[in-house]
Amino acid sequence: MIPGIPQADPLPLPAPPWLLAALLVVTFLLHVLPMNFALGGSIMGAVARLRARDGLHPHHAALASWIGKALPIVMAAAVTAGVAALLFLQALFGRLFFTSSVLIAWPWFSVVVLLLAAYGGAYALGSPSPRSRERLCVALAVPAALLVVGFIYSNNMSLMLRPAVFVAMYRSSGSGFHLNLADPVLLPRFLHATTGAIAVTGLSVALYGLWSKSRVRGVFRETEGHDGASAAGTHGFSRWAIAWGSRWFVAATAVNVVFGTWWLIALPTEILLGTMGEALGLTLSLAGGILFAIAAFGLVMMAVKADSPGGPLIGAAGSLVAAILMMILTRDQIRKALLEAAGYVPIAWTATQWGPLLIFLGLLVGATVAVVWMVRVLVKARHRGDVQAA
Amino acid sequence: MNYPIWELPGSGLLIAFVAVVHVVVSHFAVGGGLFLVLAERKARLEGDQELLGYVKRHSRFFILLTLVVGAITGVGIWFTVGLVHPQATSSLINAFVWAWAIEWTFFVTEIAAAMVYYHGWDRLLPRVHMRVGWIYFWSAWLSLVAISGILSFMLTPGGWLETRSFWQGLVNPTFLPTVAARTAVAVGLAGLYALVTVAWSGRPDTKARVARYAGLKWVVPMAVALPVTITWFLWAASGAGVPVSGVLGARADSIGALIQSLAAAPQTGHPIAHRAAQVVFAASLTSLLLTLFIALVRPRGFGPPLALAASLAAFIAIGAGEWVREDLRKPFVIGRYMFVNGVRVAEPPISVVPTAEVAGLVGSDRYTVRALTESGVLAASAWARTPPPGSAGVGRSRAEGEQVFKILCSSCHTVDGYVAMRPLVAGMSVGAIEHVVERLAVPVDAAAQPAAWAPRVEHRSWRGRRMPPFAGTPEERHALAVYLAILGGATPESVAAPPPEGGDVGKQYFEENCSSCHDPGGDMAIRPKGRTAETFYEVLGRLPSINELMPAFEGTDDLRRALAAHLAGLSEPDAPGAVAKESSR
Repeated sequence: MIPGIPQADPLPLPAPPWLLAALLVVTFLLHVLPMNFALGGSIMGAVARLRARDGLHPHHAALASWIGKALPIVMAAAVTAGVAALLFLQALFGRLFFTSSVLIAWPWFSVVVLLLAAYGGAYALGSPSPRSRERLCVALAVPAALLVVGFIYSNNMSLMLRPAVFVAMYRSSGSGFHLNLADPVLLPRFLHATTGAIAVTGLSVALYGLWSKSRVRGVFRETEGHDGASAAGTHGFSRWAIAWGSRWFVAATAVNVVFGTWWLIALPTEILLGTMGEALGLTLSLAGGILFAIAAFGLVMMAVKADSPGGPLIGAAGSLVAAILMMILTRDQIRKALLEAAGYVPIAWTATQWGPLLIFLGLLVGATVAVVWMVRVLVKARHRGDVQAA
Repeated sequence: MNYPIWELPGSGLLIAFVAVVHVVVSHFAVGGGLFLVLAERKARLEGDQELLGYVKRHSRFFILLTLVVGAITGVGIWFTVGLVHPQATSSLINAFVWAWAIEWTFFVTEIAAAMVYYHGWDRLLPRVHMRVGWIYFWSAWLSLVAISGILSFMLTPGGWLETRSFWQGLVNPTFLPTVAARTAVAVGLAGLYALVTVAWSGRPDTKARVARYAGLKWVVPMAVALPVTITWFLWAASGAGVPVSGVLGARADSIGALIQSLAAAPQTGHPIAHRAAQVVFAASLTSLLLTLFIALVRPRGFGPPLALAASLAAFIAIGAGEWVREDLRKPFVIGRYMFVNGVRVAEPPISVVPTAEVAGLVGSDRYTVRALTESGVLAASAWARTPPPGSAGVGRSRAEGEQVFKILCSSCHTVDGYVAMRPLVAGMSVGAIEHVVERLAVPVDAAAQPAAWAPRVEHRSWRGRRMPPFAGTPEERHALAVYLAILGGATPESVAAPPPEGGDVGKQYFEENCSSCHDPGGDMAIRPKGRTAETFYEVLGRLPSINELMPAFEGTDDLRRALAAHLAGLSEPDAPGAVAKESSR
C-alpha cells in the first residue's frame, strides 16, 4: 500500500468503471470545447480590444464585440459541462483528487473566486463601448483570471498523478499553499492546453467569419453605432475574420507542436516509450490526435487560399474536434499508466445502480432534446428577425 | 486520517459562508423562475405593458445573479466540502453518483433555459417564451428536489444504513419535508427579490402593483407555509432519531414545547443551535412585518432600503436555519454513518460486504471507531507528523497529542478561535481531561449498558454534548490529554511530575475523574451538607442510579473510601468557588 493513497471508501462504485470512464471522456470533451473558447476567446478578445482602441481597426472592434457577447454563453457551457466531468473524475479518482486538492487548498479554493470574477467580467464585456478604459481593464482581467484558473487546474490534475510526493509535501506544510511546481510535466502541460485553447478560438473566429457571410446585414445592424461598425457590416469583415482566425489557429498549432513534444519528453521514460509503440492503445490515440491535428492544420491552410473556404474550414473543425477527442483519450491512458507506475490500484468493487443509471440516461436524452429545442427556436427566431429587418 | 487535513482553523466556517451565499441565490433561482413566468403570464393576460417591462428588467438581474453567483458558488460548495471534508464528500459521491448526475441534467436544462429566456424576450413568440420559462422553473425545482435528497440523507440516512440502497438513502425520512420547506423558502425569496428590483423603479404604479403582488401573493403565503413545513421537518427528524428537542432546548418534541423553547434562554448544552433557532424566528418575523408594511402601508413610496432590509432579514433567517440543520446533525457529518471528524461509526453491514477477492483490494475499513481504537489514529494516518523515534517523555506526548487533536478534533475545534479548546481545558489536569475524553460518547444498549458501536446504537455523551467518541489507543488518549492540559495552562514539568508520595489519593482521584463535571466553582459542585464519609461511600456504589449520565465508580475499595473521605471533608461553600479555594489549600 502506498502511504499517500487513501484507503477506498467501503462503498461500491455505482456503475462499471468503464462506463464512468466513458462518461468522463464525453463530459470532458463537452467541457473542453467551450472552455477553450472561453480562455482563448478572452485572450483574442483582449488583443482585439487593444487594437481597436485607436478607432482605426473596425474589424477588431467588431470581433471584440462578438467575443464579448459569446463569452458569457461559452463560460456557462464550460462551467456546466465541467461540473459533470468533475463528478465522474471524483467517482473514479476521488482518493487522489481530494488529496491533491487539499495539498493545494488555497489555490484550489481561489478558483471559485477567480471564476466568479471572470464570469462576471464576461457579462460586463457583453455591453457596447469597447473603447472605454474600464471595459479594457475588464477585458484584460478576464483572460488573466482564466489563465490563473487554468494554471491551478494543471497543477491539481498533474499533482494527483504523483501520490509518491503527497506525504512529504503535506508534512512540510498542511496549510494548503503548495503547487506542483517541481513536476517537469506541469509547465508544458499548461502551455500546451493554453495554446490549444488559442488554436480552437482561432478556428472558431474563422468559422464565425464564414457564418457571418450569410448574415452580413445582421452583423451590420448589431454593431451599428460602434466604432468601425459600418466596415464590419461588409463582406470585408467575414474575409478578415476568416484570415485573422486562421492565422491565430496556424500560429498556435505550430507553437503547440513544440509544447506537445516538450510535454511528451517530460513524461517518465516508460510512458514515453508507451506512446512510441509499447502500449498500442496509447500509441494509436496519440498518433490519431497528431494526424487529425495535421489534417486540421492543412485544411485551414487550404481555406486561407481558397475562394470558397467553407468546405475546408468545416472539415478543419471536424478534424480539430477529433484531434481533441484523441488527445483526451491519450491523456486518459497516460494518467492510468502513471498511476499504475505509482502503485495505485483502482477499486473494482461495483454494485451497479441500474434504476438510477437508467433514469439518468433517460433524463440526459430529455435534457438534450429540451436544450436543442430551446436553442433552435432562439436561433430560428433570430434569423426570422434578420429576414424581416432586411 | 485517511485524507490530509487542511490546516485552516475553523474550516467549517468557510463551508458555512460559501453555503449560505449559495443557498440564498439558488433558492431564488428556483422561486425566481416561477415568479418570472407567472408575472409574465399575468402581464400578458392583463395586457399590462408596464408590468411586462418590469419583468423583463427583473430577468436581467435574475440571470446575472443565478447564472454567475448561483452556478459558481454551487461549484464553490463542492470545492469547499471536498477540501474540508474529503472523507464525507467521497462517501456522498460514491453513494449518489447518479443522484448528482440526475441533478446535473436538470442543471444543464436550467442554465440553457435561463439564457434562452433572457435572450428570447424580443425574439420568441410569447407562448414559446413562456414555455421556456416553465422549462426553466421545473428543471430548477427538480434540481432542488435532487439536492434535497442528498442533504436530508446526511441528517437521516434511513434504511440506507443497513441496505446501502440508493432509493432508501435518497427518499429518506426527512426528504419530503425538506423539499417542501425549501420550496417555500424559494417562493418566498422570489417575492422578496421582486420587491428589491422594483424598489428602484421610478414608476409608483408599477411599484405598487409589484409590491402587492409579490408581497401578498408570494411572501405572505410562504410565511404561513414555512412554519408548517419546518414543523413537519422537525417532527420527521425527531421520528428518525435526531434529538431535536434536546438540541433546541425544548422539554418535548411537541410544537408547543418547541415554540416555548424559542422564548426561553438557552439552557441546554447547545446554546449556539438554540440561539440560531431564535434568530430564524425573529428574522423571519421581521422580514414578514417589513413586507406587510411595504405591501399595505407604503406600496407606492417604499425605497431600496426597506426592500433590502426585508431581504436581509430573510437571508439572516435562512443562514440561521441552515445552521440549525447542521447542528441537528452533530456529532455526525452523515447521520449514524460517519462522525464529523471522518471516523466511521461501524463496519459495513454483512449484506454489502464485498466479495473476498474485492475485499483483498479494499482491505478492512481502517477508519471505524473500533479499528482506530485498536490500531491507533496516528498509525492509521499517513499524514501525521509524529515525533522522531528517539524522543520521549512529555515532549513526545505533547507532540503526539497535538497531532491527535489535529486529526480528531480540529474539524470543529480551534485552539483559540471558533469553539476554542483552550478555555474548555483551562486549569484541568491530565487525568481529568483523560477522564472526559474517555467518556465523550459511549455506545449503550437498550438497558443503558455499554455496547459496541453500530449504526443504530444509541450513545451516552459526556454532559449531553454531542461529541464523537475518542477513536484511538489509551496512549493516544493520554497524549491528547497532555497536549490539552498544557494548552490549558499546565507546565510540562507539572504534567511530567509523578503524584506526590503519601498525597491525598482521594483528592487526586476526585480532580482527575470527577472535577471535569463537579468543578468546585461550577453549577454542579459537590455540597456535602453534613453527610459522612460512610454515606458518600454508599453513594459512590450507585452513581448511575442517581443520574444516568454518571459512570459507575470502578476503582478499588481503598480508593472508594479515600474518595468518600475527601468528599465528606469538603467544606460547604457559601458561594460557588468557595470549595475550590478550600480544596486547593
